[in-house]
Amino acid sequence: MAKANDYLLPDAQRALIQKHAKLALERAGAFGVFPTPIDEILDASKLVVSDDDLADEGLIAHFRRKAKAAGQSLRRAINKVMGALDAVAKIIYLDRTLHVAKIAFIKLHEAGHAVLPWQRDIYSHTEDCEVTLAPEIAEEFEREANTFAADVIFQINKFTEEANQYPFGILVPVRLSKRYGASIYMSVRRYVTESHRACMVLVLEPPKIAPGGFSAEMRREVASPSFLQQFGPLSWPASFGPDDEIGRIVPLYGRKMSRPREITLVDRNKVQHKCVAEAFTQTHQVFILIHSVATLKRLTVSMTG
Amino acid sequence: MAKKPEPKTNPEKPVEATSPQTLGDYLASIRAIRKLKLRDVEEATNKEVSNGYLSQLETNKITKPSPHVLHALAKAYVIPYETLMQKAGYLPASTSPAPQVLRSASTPQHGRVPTFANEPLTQEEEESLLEYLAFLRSRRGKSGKSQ
Repeated sequence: MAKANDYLLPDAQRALIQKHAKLALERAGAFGVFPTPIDEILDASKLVVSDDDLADEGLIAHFRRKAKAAGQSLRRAINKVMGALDAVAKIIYLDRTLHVAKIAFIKLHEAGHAVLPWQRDIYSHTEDCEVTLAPEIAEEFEREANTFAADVIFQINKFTEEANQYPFGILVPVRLSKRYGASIYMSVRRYVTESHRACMVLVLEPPKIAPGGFSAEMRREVASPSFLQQFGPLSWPASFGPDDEIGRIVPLYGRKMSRPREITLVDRNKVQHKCVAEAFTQTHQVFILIHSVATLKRLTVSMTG
Repeated sequence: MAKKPEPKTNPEKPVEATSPQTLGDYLASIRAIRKLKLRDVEEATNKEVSNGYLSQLETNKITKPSPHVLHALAKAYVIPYETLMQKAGYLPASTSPAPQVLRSASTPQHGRVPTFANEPLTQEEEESLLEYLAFLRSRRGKSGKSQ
């Protein structure tokens, strides 16, 4: 099943997060500095990143000798957690085995929890008291922290302005990802969500050999606002294979890309649109970027009998 | 820019509700005590909370505002933010049963410590993580930096 949108926020809330992201960038003098200087931003926000690796076996063993009760529950927690914030001490802890671009995002995600005042003030309270946030609020805070991290790393509109200088295509965010110090995954999502075009990206799991060829499961779909307005939520299959239009675009046998191909999508008003789909993979996932290029014709349904 | 209106009562003394009230009733009572108009609050929150929105909150037409709204109101009224979060139902006690659902130690909830995780932590896991973070913090304290 495709994952839910973990950035979705109402417009007013989105604007408020952007205001705080802009302040964080300004405090560090980070606008126009590439890649986005994350450590300077954290420093200017009075946050410290611990040298301790959250998943360090020696540290865990040391702790378990002192706190016998922790046992397996800490092990399970560490297996789930890639980053954590000590809100009172303003220290960020990381799983340092992760990819450098992932670490950059997690640092800024945790910074979001510490910088957004309504989050910082309540986490300082929950950390010390026997109260916990309601699950729906904890989830909202995660979406806010994701949005803050993306706004900072892409320097609000700078990434989008730069991307718009090139002809539309999957290689634009791939190449810009290095310049901003962001992951390809994050850059492709940003490219689509901030685009004025009717476009979307399907993120698929790497293809697995299956009867009849291969199967690539859908992980996530992300669309631009104008795509959603025009096409609405489309019902994609849970997985793709060699016999379907999207599956045929999936790069195989070590190839990183597939050439752009025409596909047809039907919008909310049953009008067909010629679209172009192209794919890129860096082995962890497959991106299928789709954008609408021309309106074709209205579908007609003939009733017989 | 318009000057923010000052609270009319002792700002150091938080105003507590004397009986169970809805969030809306509580906010209306605080504003009455502070002798503030809806528009005063809009100004005091730098327009983060519009007068129309606050009116709907006070009349219980909106019962689940975003925490950033409650934070802005807590600052404007000089009252504890946690009180408003509690009244909105956003801070259920971690050791007490949630409404209608008895929370067990293994129920995912994950709401005391900010993390980036691939799945929610259970209450037990989160408590272990909090203890572990306290341990890491104490090591920093001893050496002045992480070891």
